Amino acid sequence: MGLPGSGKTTFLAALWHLVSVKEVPCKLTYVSLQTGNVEHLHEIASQWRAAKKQERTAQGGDKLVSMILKAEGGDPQTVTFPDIAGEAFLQMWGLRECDETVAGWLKEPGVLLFIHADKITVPKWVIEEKLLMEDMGIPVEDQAKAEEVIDWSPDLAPTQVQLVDLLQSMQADPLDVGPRRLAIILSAWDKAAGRGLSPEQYLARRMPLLDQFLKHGLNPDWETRIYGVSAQGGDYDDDQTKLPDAERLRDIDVPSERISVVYAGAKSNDLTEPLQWLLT
Amino acid sequence: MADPEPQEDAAPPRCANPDCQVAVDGRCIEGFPNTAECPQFGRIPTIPVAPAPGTYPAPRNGVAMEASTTLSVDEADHVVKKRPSRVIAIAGPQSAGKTSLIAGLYDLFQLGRVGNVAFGQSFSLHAFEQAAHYSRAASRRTTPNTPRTERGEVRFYHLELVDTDSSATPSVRLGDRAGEEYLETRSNPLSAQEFLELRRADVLTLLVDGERLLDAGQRHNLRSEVRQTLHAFVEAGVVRPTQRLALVLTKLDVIRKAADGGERSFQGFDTLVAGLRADYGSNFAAVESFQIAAQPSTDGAKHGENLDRLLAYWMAEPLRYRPGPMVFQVPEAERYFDRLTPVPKDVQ
Repeated sequence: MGLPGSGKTTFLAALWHLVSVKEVPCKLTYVSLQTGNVEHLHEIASQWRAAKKQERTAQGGDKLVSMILKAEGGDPQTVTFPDIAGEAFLQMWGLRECDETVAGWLKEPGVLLFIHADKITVPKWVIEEKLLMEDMGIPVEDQAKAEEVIDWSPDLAPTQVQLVDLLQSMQADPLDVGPRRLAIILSAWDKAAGRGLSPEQYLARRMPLLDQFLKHGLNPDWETRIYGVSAQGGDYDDDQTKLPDAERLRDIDVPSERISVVYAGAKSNDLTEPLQWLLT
Repeated sequence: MADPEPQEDAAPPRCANPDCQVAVDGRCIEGFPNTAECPQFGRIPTIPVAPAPGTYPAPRNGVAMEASTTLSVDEADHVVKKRPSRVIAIAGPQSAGKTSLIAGLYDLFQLGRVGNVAFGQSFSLHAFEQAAHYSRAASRRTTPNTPRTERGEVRFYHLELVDTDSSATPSVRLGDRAGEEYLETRSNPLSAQEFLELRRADVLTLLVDGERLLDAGQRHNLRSEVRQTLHAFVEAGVVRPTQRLALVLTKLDVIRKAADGGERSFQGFDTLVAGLRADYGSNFAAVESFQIAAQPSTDGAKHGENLDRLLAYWMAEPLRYRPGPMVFQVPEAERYFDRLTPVPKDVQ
């Protein structure tokens, strides 16, 4: 789950390429596809291989894909990926309601929460911006002449507030199912890695309210891990623009090597790592 | 529903009714031919009072989530049953900074711990966000502002907090009520008996508007208002000896920007505190004073300056939880036979 544009579909596309093509060793290996929208899976993986941006998942067009994966020495397990539009989670935050099908999926014991590391809306204050402008010698508009004031709406809330609310909802009725495993995926980690912080440090620095909630507000029986994941490896082309980064990524002979997963100081190409943890 | 307050700043006039776009399209949603006649036009939107539990509209499509608003007295009581709590009444006339204090504290948690206190969770996130909105850059205001609280039943902002030193994890309820209702208790002290947050408070927090204290024409009236309000609470019998009193000077940033550096205002506040302590201190378990800048509008103070001290005071173990000594007294029996007691063993 995750807010719009948090990298859910890209993760799924890269995962499907990774387990189906088997270019690099992974903790989970692919056995077979189950029911679900297989076409969707092929389509998004094809976009990913071509280093092209994914189409946004439309709300109401949520795609369900199930595949059977198997850990070494373990039994095959069915893993279901509902590719839910981020708007469904905005609806939970803003309108306090949840589609019944989505509510059903949110009762699973293993949760992947996606956060785009480079698109975190942080709170900014009027006074700070005003003082900054004054310091820079930029005249501050008189309130009377300023452009139209924007009234409050839930989507203006900082990313961390929306995520805290989402996780609170999952430990309260009607979504509470007791202890769960929560894997937080900081997607587009390539954009954040330059700061030299671990994923935990990055989350604490950029989203202190969420960090406090995870330490003090989340049900202590939940287990949490924070991964830094770059499923793309860089910027992909959109319909209009061709980017040098995308060209560089297409030049890599083994597409799975575009992927990077950072956890507990170790780095790999294995996107199945958080899944394996959720399944054990 | 009470009338919204007139807008005090120089914001372009618009309608307090969020559904009315008269400022944009010139059409009044309530049908007034010109805006001068409309009671809503040109006023600051107010924080809406949330509907009572069970009256939320049914979800259009699916499963209803818990509301994320302020809590009614009953809802707040339900929270108290689950874990230890701190009930904080925040009283003061309108514009003293009650909602700013609540929003300013919430905003500090956005940045990390406040002193030794960490955020746990909150059932009032929407309400906090609304209270904080007009001080945020996302509102596109050029001067910070705070929506006013409507008249009506008290509503509680909810926070579950963690004292990382003592490991206490209380549920903190911050009472919010329209300032004019508190002010009216001066004329009718008994009306304070209806204010459940006062009776239940562990800390009664009385705000002193720093901006008015700067104003030579208002400062004497302000001090009189604060004194009379506290007197009304005592007279109404809504304060208890287990309560702590916090006397809070607000808008510290504005005071410091005064020509004299705020010296006269600080002295005025100290005099007020000394007088209140002398006259009403015996009604409370403790009296402390604080000087804060919850949501500064100038560079005269840091964002949320001294809120950590105030929060630590709020977080202290409530005295209502502390058991008092029990005096065991055997009632004297009327009949001599009933006064007989067993013979001590060493006498036998």
